[in-house]
Amino acid sequence: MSLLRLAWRNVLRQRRRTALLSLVVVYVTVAVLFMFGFLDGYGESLVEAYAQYVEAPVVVAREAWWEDPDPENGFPSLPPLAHPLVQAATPRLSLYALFRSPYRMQGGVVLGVDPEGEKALSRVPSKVGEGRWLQGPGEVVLGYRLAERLDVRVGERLVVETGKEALGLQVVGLVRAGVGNVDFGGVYVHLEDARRLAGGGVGATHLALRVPRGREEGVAKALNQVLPEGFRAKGVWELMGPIRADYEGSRLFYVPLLGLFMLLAAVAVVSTTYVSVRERLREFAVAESLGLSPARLAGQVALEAALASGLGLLAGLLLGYALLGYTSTHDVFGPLMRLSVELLPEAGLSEHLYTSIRPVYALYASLLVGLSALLALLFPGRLVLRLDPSRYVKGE
Amino acid sequence: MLRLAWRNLLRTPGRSLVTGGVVALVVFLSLLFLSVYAGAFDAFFQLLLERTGHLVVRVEGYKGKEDLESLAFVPPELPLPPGAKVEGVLEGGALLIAHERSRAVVLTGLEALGLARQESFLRAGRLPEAAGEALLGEALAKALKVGLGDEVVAYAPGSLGLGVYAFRVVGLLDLPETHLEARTLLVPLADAQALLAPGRVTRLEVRLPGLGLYQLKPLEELKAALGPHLQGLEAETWLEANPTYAAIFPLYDTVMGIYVGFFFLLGGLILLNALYLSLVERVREFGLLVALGLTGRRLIALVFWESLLLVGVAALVGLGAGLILQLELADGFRLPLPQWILEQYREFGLPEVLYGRLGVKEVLLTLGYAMGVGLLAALWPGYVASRLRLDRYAALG
Repeated sequence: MSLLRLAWRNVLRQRRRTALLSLVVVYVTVAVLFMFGFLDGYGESLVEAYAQYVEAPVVVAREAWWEDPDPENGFPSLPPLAHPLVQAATPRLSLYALFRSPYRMQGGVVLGVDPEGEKALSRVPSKVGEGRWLQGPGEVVLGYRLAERLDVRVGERLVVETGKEALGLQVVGLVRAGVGNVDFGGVYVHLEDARRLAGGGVGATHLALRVPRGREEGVAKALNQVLPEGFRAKGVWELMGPIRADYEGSRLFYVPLLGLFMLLAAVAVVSTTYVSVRERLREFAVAESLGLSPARLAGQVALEAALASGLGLLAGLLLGYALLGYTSTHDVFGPLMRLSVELLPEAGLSEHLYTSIRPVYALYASLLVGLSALLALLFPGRLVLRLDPSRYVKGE
Repeated sequence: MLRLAWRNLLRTPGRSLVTGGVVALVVFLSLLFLSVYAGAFDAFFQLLLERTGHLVVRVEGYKGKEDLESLAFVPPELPLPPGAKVEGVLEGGALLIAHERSRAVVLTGLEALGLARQESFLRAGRLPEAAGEALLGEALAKALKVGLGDEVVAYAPGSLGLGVYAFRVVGLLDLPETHLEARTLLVPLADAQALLAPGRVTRLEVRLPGLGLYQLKPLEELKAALGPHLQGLEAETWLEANPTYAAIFPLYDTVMGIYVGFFFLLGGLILLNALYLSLVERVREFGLLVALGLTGRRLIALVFWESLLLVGVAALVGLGAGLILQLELADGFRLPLPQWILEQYREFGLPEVLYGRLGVKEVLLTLGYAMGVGLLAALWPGYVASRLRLDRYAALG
């Protein structure tokens, strides 16, 4: 305890120097917190977009459908599902089609859904901005950007053709989900209509499951143990498109970069400690003559580095978490995300991005304190260990 | 003063090396970052340029028009400079049917030159040579379960042409983006016109030989010259024709400036720390210099020279290392990421092999940051040095 008090007093003796090196630590701590918060927030926004809008938390389909997503690889009846974490399940039938308004034609994917079942699983039904959600056959709900492209409005008719069948459906609602895939390409029809468009004989192409957040991969894995042969469940991370690579690539890029930032900050702390130790070699010699062992003195040097960087860490944590608090509740990155959605409408990006706040970021940032102390032991600490007290006490 | 500053730096070689090393590393990383980023942007833009040509001519106000009838036009004769080539393109939606399967496609009619440009993407078969022959994206062919020699039927109801046309698959394309590959049907222009809009095109692409990626001025000049000849039509540069990319373009410099600024802020704080430490170690020495007649202003100059020398030398070292690496990057490189991530990046139009680019602007930005940081970091230590009082030095001495 006395060593700690001594180290603390020494840190306070050079207030300006301590403040300066703390500033470096504050900067790096804020950078570490913000970058992890941003990356996790980005990942969470992708998971939410795919789990709640584009796909589902878990999807079960035939292996053949995963390989070749055509209705002929769907299933006539639903496979048995037994897992306590499955909170809801609804069948879906996806098929490729041509959409024709009186003015424009465009191709895309139609999703046949059970209107009530979908409400329990997806947020799309609650995001109908104009009109209403599906109630029965003969109706279609579109993403609002797709409706603009097709030049159709609520109440007008849209022809959906698959080459086998064609249906004239009434547009009853336009979805404003804020997720590229839904707004630019979402076409939702009643399951019965989808079955007719597919030419009959297929009940659904896949089954969408709702499971608790964060348990998607575990449930998919568990289901794969019990599903009949030829079926396979996929969790949301597996369902994501190429955008997942952007997230993984960013993580691989930023984590070593932040490691480098922390190392440089630790070098700044140690450099200051080194100067401080050199100035006080005579003081250390006296302390050693009075009975303090070289190892304890080196420990004191490491403690001084840890305390000085710890001060910066505390201030950095306060600032960093305040910044994360703000960006996790305010849509600061909204304009950037909207531009990204325009650029990559099929990537499954959300128009909003909020940073994440996790206590573990403090642990990552505190590695800097440990690193500073370790380097202080290795460099300025060695000065103390090599000290010849008699020489310094004599004033040579 | 310069010699004194230099000698002071050499007196603490360890600290000068560490601080200079940080600055050199920051300069090096900044150049690396800028080169890689510019290379990635070049790849994106090159792909756009190849797809649209340098200038695109379309119906006036085409963004607000939806139907093919309003978008298609009879191509006029354009007075183009020598060497320039113009190609007509007709693009429309269709349902492609093969046996029991069908997929919605974007049907694109291309002239012989346009089809020839697809050769690098050809993975099987050959380019169309006669009417009724088509190129399909590999993913589309897989989805329709068709191969070379098979017949597919394009169905485009409500168009101005026949509305139905049969094609024989003669080639399969491996496009960088699978989502495009899954809906790409390329056919000779005459066939597309017969199916969708006889004698018309939806755009004209003008290509100018030997024009660099960002040379927009000659394009603006040509656009202005073509203006009087475009009755009811409008010409856009390749960047204007891709408004979302055009919106990103001005952001590029700002985003890069901020990213590089993050590096330099850290480097600056470390430099400030080193200068301040160097100052507090030499308080007595400063007292002696003042006693010998050195003014406060010259003391500030001494601190500034030390900072600038340290930053200058380190920046040159970082710049040298960065330029040596740039020589390698300019020949092509792969991002150090797992293969599955690189393959996924292709889906966004980013090729696996990129070519680094460092322009004078990027080098000046980096050096400007370095010198700016050097000056700013010396401000406070210089001020402190100039404010130290002679009686305090005497007391210390």
